[in-house]
Amino acid sequence: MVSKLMILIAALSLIAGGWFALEYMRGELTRPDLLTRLNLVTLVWFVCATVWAYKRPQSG
Amino acid sequence: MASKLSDLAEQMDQLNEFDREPVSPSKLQGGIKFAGLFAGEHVAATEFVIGAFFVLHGVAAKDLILGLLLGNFLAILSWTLVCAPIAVQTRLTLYWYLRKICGPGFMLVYNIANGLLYAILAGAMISVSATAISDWIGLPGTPLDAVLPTSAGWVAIAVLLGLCFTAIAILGFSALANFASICSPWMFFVFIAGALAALPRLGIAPDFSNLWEVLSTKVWNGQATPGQEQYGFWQIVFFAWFCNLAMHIGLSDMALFRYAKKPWYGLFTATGVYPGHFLAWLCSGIMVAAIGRELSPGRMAYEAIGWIGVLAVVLAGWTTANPTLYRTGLALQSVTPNWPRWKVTLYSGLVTTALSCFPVFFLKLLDYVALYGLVLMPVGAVVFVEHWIVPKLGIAQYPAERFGLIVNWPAMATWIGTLVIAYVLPMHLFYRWLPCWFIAAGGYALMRYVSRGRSEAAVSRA
Repeated sequence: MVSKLMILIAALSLIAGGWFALEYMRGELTRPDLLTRLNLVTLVWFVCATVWAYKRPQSG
Repeated sequence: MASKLSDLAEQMDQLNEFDREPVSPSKLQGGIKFAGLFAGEHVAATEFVIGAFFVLHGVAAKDLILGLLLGNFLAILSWTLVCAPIAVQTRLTLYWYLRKICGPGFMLVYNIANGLLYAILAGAMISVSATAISDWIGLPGTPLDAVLPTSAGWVAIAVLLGLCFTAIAILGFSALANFASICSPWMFFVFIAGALAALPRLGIAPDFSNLWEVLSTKVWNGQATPGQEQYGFWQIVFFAWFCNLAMHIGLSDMALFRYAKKPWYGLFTATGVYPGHFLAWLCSGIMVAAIGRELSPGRMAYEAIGWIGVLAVVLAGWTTANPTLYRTGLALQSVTPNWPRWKVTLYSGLVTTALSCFPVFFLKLLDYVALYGLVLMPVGAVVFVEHWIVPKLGIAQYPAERFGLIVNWPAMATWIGTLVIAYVLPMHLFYRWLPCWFIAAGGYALMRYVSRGRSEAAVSRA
């Protein structure tokens, strides 16, 4: 359950990151804001994906 | 000499012992598993360099997009029609199948060649990571024609990174391979986000209305950077096709496809090839155009999305170098009697680190990728002929296994002869592998046919 939640959050963080980059491209976000958000996205991804990778049941 | 070779052969066999038996039916995997497996592949540090080089080589936008679509499709067909069917029928790794055909002496040479090629590739990956850090701390950029290191600072960074990567490969390859696998989706995200963030610098309108115009005039405008060769549609087609030549036509991916239920699972390579060798290359092209066509993976990623861009380049270099160092160690362990794995990895890591100090390996990456595939391709042709053609000629298969040969000389002559012909063939380096594959296949089939009676007669006499 925890690992599924973690991978869901991780995936959503990357989708959000893509959305932020698109917003920046459209001029709706300043560069410092974009960089701050992408840093946050990266942090969330690595925490959640790492927890998922080491908690998921190992096959074989 | 013979007993020494026999000892080395035994060591090689022990290293691959786990894979000796064909995969049992209970261990076969479904298509979804293969789709997932390949989805994480092909997003590596090389993508930062290759996509950028296409811009520098003056490829036109239409040629690039159509060339990549076609070239990647041909690569997928090569996996599906050449590699996967042999793997599914034999259920063996290339190592064991090749051993039956070519003998342990041939495997020794093949392993050394493989190890050296892997070491150069890992060195190039470390160089790419080093550029990220050197740009970030403000060291002067590396000229495109550089062969030797351009500064002491660059050497210090490359050595430091090389030693770190080697230490990591020694201390915990398995655990960190798991961590490396979670980097792939994030790196792909960095490519996409980096390209989107770089677009405004190129003058793209917020509604994308001038997207094609900007891409075809400011990114892939058909004009090569001075000193770079002009590339067109066919160079792109062939590059996309052969950049994994060792894996599909060279049959290295038999190791994966021996677990496939059906040969058509080769089509699942599309889940990795199109994101990595299409989208990621396009994205790095956009990023390099946004910094004025300066080949500097670190700078282009930093200018696009800040320090996480730098982190992505370093991690991309490491996640590619780590398994490559492991493979180098594995390949060379067979020729280093009684050395433990850590010692082999240490020495191969030191050699790789030394190579990484020479920027020529990543600055000539496109040519190196072509050479890498070309060198291993004839071995794939030999296996193809032995598997499909030899039975049709009415000749018994697997001469090394049947007759206890240490070296299958027709196979060795095919390998060396093909490389000699490839060297003198008057055509572009990217195109040479294709006629050479037919030359290798035809030559080996001919030699097997001509020598078909000799081995049988020798066995009968014995």
